[in-house]
Amino acid sequence: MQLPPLPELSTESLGPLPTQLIRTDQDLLEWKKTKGYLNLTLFLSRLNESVVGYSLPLPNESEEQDSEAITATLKLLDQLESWIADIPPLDTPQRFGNRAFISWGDRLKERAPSLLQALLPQTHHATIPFLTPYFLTSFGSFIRLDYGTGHEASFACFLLGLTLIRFFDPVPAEERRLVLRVFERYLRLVWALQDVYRLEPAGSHGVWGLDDYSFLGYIFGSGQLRGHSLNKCPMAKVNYEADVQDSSPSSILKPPLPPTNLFYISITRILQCKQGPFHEHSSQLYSIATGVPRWSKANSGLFKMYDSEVLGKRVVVQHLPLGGLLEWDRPTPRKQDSTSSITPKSEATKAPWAR
Amino acid sequence: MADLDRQIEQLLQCEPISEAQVKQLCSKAREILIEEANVQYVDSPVTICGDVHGQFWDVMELFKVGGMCPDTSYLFMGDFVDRGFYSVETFLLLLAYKVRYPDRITLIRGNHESRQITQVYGFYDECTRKYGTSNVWRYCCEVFDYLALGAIVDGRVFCVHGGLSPNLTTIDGIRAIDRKQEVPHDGPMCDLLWSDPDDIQGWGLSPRGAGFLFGSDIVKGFAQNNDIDLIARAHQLAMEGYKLMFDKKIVTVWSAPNYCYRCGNVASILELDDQLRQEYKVFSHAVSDVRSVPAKLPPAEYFL
Repeated sequence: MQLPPLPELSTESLGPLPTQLIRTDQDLLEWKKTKGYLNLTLFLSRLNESVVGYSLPLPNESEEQDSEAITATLKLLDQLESWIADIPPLDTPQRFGNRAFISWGDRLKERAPSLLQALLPQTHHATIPFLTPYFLTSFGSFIRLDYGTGHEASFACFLLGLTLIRFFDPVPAEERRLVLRVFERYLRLVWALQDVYRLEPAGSHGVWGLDDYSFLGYIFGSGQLRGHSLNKCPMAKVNYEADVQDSSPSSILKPPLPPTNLFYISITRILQCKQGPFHEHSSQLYSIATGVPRWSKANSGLFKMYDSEVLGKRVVVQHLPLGGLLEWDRPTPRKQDSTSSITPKSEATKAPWAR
Repeated sequence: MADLDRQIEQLLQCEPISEAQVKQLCSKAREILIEEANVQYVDSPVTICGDVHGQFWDVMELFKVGGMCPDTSYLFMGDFVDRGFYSVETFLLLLAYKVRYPDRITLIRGNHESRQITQVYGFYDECTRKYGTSNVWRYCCEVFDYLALGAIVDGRVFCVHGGLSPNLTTIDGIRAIDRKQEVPHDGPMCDLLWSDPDDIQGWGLSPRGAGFLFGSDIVKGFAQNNDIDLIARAHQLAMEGYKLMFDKKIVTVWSAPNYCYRCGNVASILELDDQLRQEYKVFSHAVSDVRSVPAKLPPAEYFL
């Protein structure tokens, strides 16, 4: 699939700093017409396409190495995880959400400027105020002590912002590393935060949601697996029989699963955390496993589901800072300016009692 | 009656009843609930239960430990739905019991018995997945609006889902609320369903974004003002199934074992005998092999 390139934004062209702009269902409809939304969905589509057929772990040697930008981002995430040891959970029996996470968040707020200055070359420092709101909301809520797909979306916006300013190169080789190196590292960090600070799933649909906390790992993971069913695995480095022999989503019902893709490691994570019948506690994933015949269908379906259930839900995106790097204005109507591979759906999030 | 008994039998097998039956059941339930007070009087002996969150097979464990309805008189303190896989079967079973034995089971409202919350935490999705439309969700929400906000056992034990409100110093104050509405975002009715006790003095802001935190002084003052011995509430996971606080003036009762399939906690029920002596009975989650076979639910529309 040929996707259009991601535009480049310069600091001078950025408007006001991002703030929460979505309040009403009307705002939600507007959001799906903005450049910010179209760039985000294009970015996610590009990330998805970049990993088709690629397995974890991604080699990091000679010709196929992490760029400096990727290395610096991984280092940043390592640093954030190291704080967990400095800030152990407090001995206060809470239902969910250990209050030590507030201290973790205080440190994040306090050190965000210096962390981002260390991450970015001097030439990009003017964009730090535009990136900070996404960075600060990428790891959970320090008030509600929860974590959910909205925080994950913030992190996606953070990576998008870094790509729009060309800290990351918008080419498949780098995008692949954004998914299989950076996002994978991020997932492990937020899992650690969820475990240590017992973060509550934010607005989880219980057993009826895809996952209590995350979504993008399932999209990217099914993208990786899509390659196998299409039988074009350029890495040709498949060590696990399950990958080759069973290239349909039903394979997730036969653990243990090899850690070769983000979908399998997310399932393994669920099986470690949850006790009980899989068809009950993970009913959506069970339906995908039993009712969707091919990974390509799972991948496109998950993308549509994300567009509607995450990016199209007011209760989620009302927390997303918008404006700045996620431009709130509409694209100027010029010829075939359909930048998104996702068809924006306008049916999203109508409360049944809403006018 | 015979119809209702058959429905109860069916629900006890964890099989949902038809949409038409739900409609009729909900309509009868409203007729009964509308007659109840905001703070319903309940006689001892009674068994008090906390959140169950659609964990049907664990509710069966609860009945094994506490006895079946109507042999045992029950008071459920809300949060019947959301998060779990069997909110439909769980709530409808309790509601069928309510209609069949109105004096042997009391259901009070939890913060999840709300249109807004059920759309975010799973019950709405469950109804549409199991019935194909949102009608059953709508019928159930109409019942939610009629549920009592609290109960008082023998005039001595005050039961409420969440806790106290800075706008309510007396139980009589609760009686003045017009409860037949969606749970408001703030105000006394909201606080009763959302607040939590905490190791503070006075009132504090709740991290939940609704209701308040309240300290031991507030609990002691409320108990004294209203001449009660104990506040029983639910709303917060207690790893040991229950948690007494503030010189045993308030207790959290939690009845969803291994909450969300992941918390590894036990659950409990509180039996009050005719002298209001407290006995906590602890139970664990149901073993997997007593459950039904996987229901054939097609994948969501996105995958078609």
